[in-house]
Amino acid sequence: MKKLLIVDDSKAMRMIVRRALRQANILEHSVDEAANGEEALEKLKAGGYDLVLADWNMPQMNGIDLLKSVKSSGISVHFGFITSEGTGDIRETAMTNGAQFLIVKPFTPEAIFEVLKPLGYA
Amino acid sequence: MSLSDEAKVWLEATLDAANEFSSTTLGFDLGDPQAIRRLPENLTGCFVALVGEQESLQIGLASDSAGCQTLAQALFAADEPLPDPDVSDALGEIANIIAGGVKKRRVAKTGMALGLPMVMEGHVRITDRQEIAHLDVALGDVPVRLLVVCNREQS
Repeated sequence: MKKLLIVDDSKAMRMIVRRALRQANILEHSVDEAANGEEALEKLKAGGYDLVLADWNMPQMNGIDLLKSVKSSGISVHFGFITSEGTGDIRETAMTNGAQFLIVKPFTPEAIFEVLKPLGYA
Repeated sequence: MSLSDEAKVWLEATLDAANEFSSTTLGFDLGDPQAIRRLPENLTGCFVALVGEQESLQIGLASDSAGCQTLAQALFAADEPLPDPDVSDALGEIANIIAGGVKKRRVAKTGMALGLPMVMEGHVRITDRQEIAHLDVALGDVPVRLLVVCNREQS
């Protein structure tokens, strides 16, 4: 069983991502949540996570700063964004800094499945 | 006072983004609000700013309190009424997704950043340097007002 971390300041969106994971038949993983980048980084430093699904715009620490902190801390984890920021420059920034994927909101369960399957989560 | 062409274009992008949100996340297309109920003057809603060096505007949506509750329950997949913080959270996320969709559609306006959601209650007042464009639509059984507030001198 792999361990996933959903990072979003919106409780509604964290629930939507959980629901999409279920609908995409990504069932046999443990799913945890964090409400911002700082909280996520603390959890990630404690270890045990395989995949981060992070929002981009969040208070305290945003998604791209979380990704940079993860990389600079040497934490080994798959990292992807689920964000309403869908422009090319945002995607390029995400990928340049080591993200595996970027899903633009609104998204379908199929979009989640398509990016997680090649990474071994489906 | 008539709307500027620029405000109309922003509103069209907002309508298109709202339709994408509705069909993708809620599973139905936007409809005609007249068939449901007329929105009162005082509404509850949420705005997200699109801020750039040359211009900035606010993208929002609003409904009556019953409509906001229904939208929030749909987003949370909840059968029971939700507390106000969860309703605000849901409205904020809907506004965030729609504003992101507007940004994507007006990609020529490069360098604009999305702000964080801000919940409002009552009705929106603007200055004489601003203009507000709105359009009433139906999100399922919920009448919703889509709103765009932009600076008149920049339009």
